[in-house]
Amino acid sequence: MKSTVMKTIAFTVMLTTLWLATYEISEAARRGGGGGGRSMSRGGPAGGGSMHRSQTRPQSSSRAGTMDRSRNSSRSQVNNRAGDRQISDQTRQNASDRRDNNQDRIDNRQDNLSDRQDFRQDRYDDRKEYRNDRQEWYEDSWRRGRYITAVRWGSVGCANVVYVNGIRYYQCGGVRYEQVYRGGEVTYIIVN
Amino acid sequence: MKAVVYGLLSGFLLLACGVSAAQSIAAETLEMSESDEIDDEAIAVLRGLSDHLASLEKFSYRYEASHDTVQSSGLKVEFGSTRRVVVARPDRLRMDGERRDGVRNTIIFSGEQIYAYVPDQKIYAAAEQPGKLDDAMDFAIRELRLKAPVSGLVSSNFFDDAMQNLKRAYYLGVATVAGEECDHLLMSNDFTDFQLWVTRTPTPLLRRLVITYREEPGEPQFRAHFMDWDLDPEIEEGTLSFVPPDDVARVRFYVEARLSEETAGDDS
Repeated sequence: MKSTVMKTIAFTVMLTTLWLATYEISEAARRGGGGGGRSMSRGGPAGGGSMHRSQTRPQSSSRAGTMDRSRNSSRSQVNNRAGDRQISDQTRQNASDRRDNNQDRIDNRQDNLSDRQDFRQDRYDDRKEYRNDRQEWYEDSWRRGRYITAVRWGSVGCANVVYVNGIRYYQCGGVRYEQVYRGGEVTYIIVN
Repeated sequence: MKAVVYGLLSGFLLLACGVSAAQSIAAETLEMSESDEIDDEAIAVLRGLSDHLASLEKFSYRYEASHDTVQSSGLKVEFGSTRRVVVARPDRLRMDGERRDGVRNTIIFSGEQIYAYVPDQKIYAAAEQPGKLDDAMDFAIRELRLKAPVSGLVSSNFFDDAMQNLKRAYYLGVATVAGEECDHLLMSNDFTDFQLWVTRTPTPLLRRLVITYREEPGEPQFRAHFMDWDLDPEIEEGTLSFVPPDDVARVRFYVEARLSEETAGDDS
């Protein structure tokens, strides 16, 4: 009887311990911060901390090269066997292999051609995007040419102030500037 | 015999509890599936922050901000500034900023006028303030092109602002920022991904914000760390108004037109 009571108590203690352990795991998962929350990868280009561009260019050329070499090796084996003039099942099989290899070669060439076309298209898209970026950059430069930032104004050395209709301008060398508040800072725009 | 039964029973319970814990963790992870892109918990935290800020008549805070600028060369440069913001609803605000290069800038919504003051250059610009804080901030940013990062915090509809075009919202768990436990949220719209760290307090406050401009070349980021929140600040007289000193000149707000319009001669 005593033994049964002891076993029951032991069982209850074990059950409570397991429940507490389960609760702790669930709670840690809920809190996040290494214990749970949403599972997110901490990797990626920035997470890797590399200062170099990742090398993710298509590897079709090298892959095609590997396939070609394996095909040549297979053809070499076929030619060696064809030296035996006896017409046999093996010879017929070799002929069939050659036809298969020829078809594989054609397919591979088409794949390579397709890969090259894709690669050219990618390069074309990249160049187009680059040209667009350059165009925007030139437009920005053009805008920049129409004003001088406060930081660079000192190097202009223009202190000749004129007032036109109550507005203060700086007039130097045939160029009239207006001091304005532009996007959070003082700027001198060319008004003529 | 009884020992064997107890042993089997214990083993079964151990297995059941293990499975239960695993399922609990798996359930958290599975919420990342594409069919469920908006976490209710994330939205609730965002709503709590927005409602709390909208309920305040006046408050002040300071933040340290930095942002990436991707150069035409592709190089990415970080710039930064510190700003102190004082808000007095319904229509007044002051924002004192100092860039890392030392350039200072003050923006004041007096309730009647919007002032931009550059003390080091001894100039200010002024424009009539249209309406209360929400309208005035919208006007200042869209029309006057003032730079007021994270201006949504002072508006009464920060929640709506954040929810606009929202595609994804995840609750990432609890994270400690500057020694304070925060709820970590990740949200994403058509253009940006943004993360918020909101304090786990009865009066939730924004502690940190990171915005990634995903569609921009180089995916530049804006980062801000918020501190010194005061929910009942003593606002000194003159803080929310502006009387230009004698040696300070008034200049225009200059807003660039689009290139095509400029070429056509419209330079207003």
